Amino acid sequence: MAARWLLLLASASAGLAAELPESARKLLSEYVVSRSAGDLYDLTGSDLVSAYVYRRLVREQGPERVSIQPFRRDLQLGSLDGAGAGTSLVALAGLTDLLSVAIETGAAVRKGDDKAMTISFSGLPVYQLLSGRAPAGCGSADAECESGAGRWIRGIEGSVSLNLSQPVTAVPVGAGGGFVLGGRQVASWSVRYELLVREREEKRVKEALQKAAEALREPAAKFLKNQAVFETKLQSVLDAAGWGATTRALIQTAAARPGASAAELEPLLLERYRLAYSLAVSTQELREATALASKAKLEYLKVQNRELAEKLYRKALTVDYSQVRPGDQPVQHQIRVVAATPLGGKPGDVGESKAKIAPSASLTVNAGITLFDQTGRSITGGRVRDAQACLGIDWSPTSWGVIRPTYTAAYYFQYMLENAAMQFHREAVTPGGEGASAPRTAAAVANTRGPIHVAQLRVSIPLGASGVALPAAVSYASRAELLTGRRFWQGHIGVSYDLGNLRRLRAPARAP
Amino acid sequence: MCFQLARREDGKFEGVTGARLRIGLHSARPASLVRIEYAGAQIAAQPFEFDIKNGENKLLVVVLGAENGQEMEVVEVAGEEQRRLKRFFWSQADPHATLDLVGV
Repeated sequence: MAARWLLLLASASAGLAAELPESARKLLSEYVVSRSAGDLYDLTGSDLVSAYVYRRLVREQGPERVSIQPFRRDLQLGSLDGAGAGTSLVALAGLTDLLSVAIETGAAVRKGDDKAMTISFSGLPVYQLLSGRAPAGCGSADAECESGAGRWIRGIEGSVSLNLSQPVTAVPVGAGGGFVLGGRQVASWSVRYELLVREREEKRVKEALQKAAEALREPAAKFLKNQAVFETKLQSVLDAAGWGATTRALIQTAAARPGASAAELEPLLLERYRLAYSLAVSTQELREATALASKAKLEYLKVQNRELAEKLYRKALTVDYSQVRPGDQPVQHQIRVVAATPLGGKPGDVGESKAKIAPSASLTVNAGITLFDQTGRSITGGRVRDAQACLGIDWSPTSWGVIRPTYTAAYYFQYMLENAAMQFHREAVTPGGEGASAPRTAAAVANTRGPIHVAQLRVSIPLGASGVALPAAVSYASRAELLTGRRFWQGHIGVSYDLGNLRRLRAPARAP
Repeated sequence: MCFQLARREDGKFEGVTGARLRIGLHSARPASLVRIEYAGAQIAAQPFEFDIKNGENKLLVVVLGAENGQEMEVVEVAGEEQRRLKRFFWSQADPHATLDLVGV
């Protein structure tokens, strides 16, 4: 592994050089005001220089990017349209940290054998691509999501569900046959914003940090050991080159200019850190120390971030907008709020090794309304089509080898405030299944006001760390959206793949 | 008790070899000291206390904070009093601070 890091170091290019660590930027701002000799010295301390070295490695090579999937069990890789084709009634708080694909069959409220392929993505990789960088996403161990635009863009998520069903959904009309309806290619699309809610009560934060610190004491040992060796060697090289004294003199002079600001000094400090980086990789001995320290730091950060996620950032709040496009109805606009919180004990409390196998549970609540589009409004005369609420409890019991399924029990309630509008597209209306098209799009109003209750049991079986999961569910509905007075069972099955694991799968092939 | 360290003009901290030094953490928001390393030895629990070694050695302090950019101070503790040694800004990606100690 160390050899791989050496290779990464050797192939580093100046064009991808990282920015100043946030800690250095903040201290520089303080120094401009305080002009304190201590702050000036600390700006050239080996801790900040090594932070820049580490950040530059991550920026250039994205080494050992860690998918957030193992840390979060509240990621939904399938359709977000609980009523339409999909395997999950409840919309979970998160989608994916990179890109995922799912194929699912079975609709909970619209009786049918709809099939859909859902592509979900995070906004951050898209932003990174547009910025000319590798679309590595956020992961769990790099600084991309800590500050700047990445901190806010990471919450943006989106998904598109494509209809895979043949456009021949029959709607019974009288005894003589029925209409055959055409399906839309895009069944739904969604944009959402996810906010991880930090614990805010100071007393609880303090307790959580103390517990996390206790859990981190052992993982920190290797990190500290390698970091101390690296910084000691780095300091020798920097001192021999007179880097620290020269840097301090340059900053002091620049800061003494009238009206000097931190923003004006940042390029100077960054240039000096770049020079320090060149010195840090100038000898074989130092390159080896850099590689070992960076690897140990990454391992520590993984554990640290998981501890923080489990103890401090346990709740999530998501707001999403979905445009739902059923094949037999006008377009609908759905606005929804999703809240999620873990239940019971915190897995991290029982130690790192046991955290992977300890049972965990979480509660997810959805609430939303669906609005008619212009066509629907003109047919029904109303604007708000329905309101929904959903409650789901996820439970991940002790793992069975590498398999750790998640069971979900969900209840969904939808109240149809208006009658549903049905729409038969001109090009697809073929009475009796024959090929005769109607002169124009036809519409009808079904007497469907009233409540709909759906219950669902679901299991999702992830296949180890491959990123592949197999969800299956069975749901029982008091009625369908368009057909009242008829209860029905519906089976759902699917397969999903989180491409956030791609880099991990490819890593062994790249290793020397 | 009295403080053991004094900051030199070059920014390093100087203390008498053999003197006992206790390190602490101060922050307006909750924070916790995880582990420290000094001169090849590590301490993982309170009190974070050690004897100053002769010559120059690095003191590394790993901490845990509540939010990125949180301002913290590594402090020297002497009885009920404490004095700031180093100010730094904690983040998840940069969870440690380093001080250069010189024992004379």
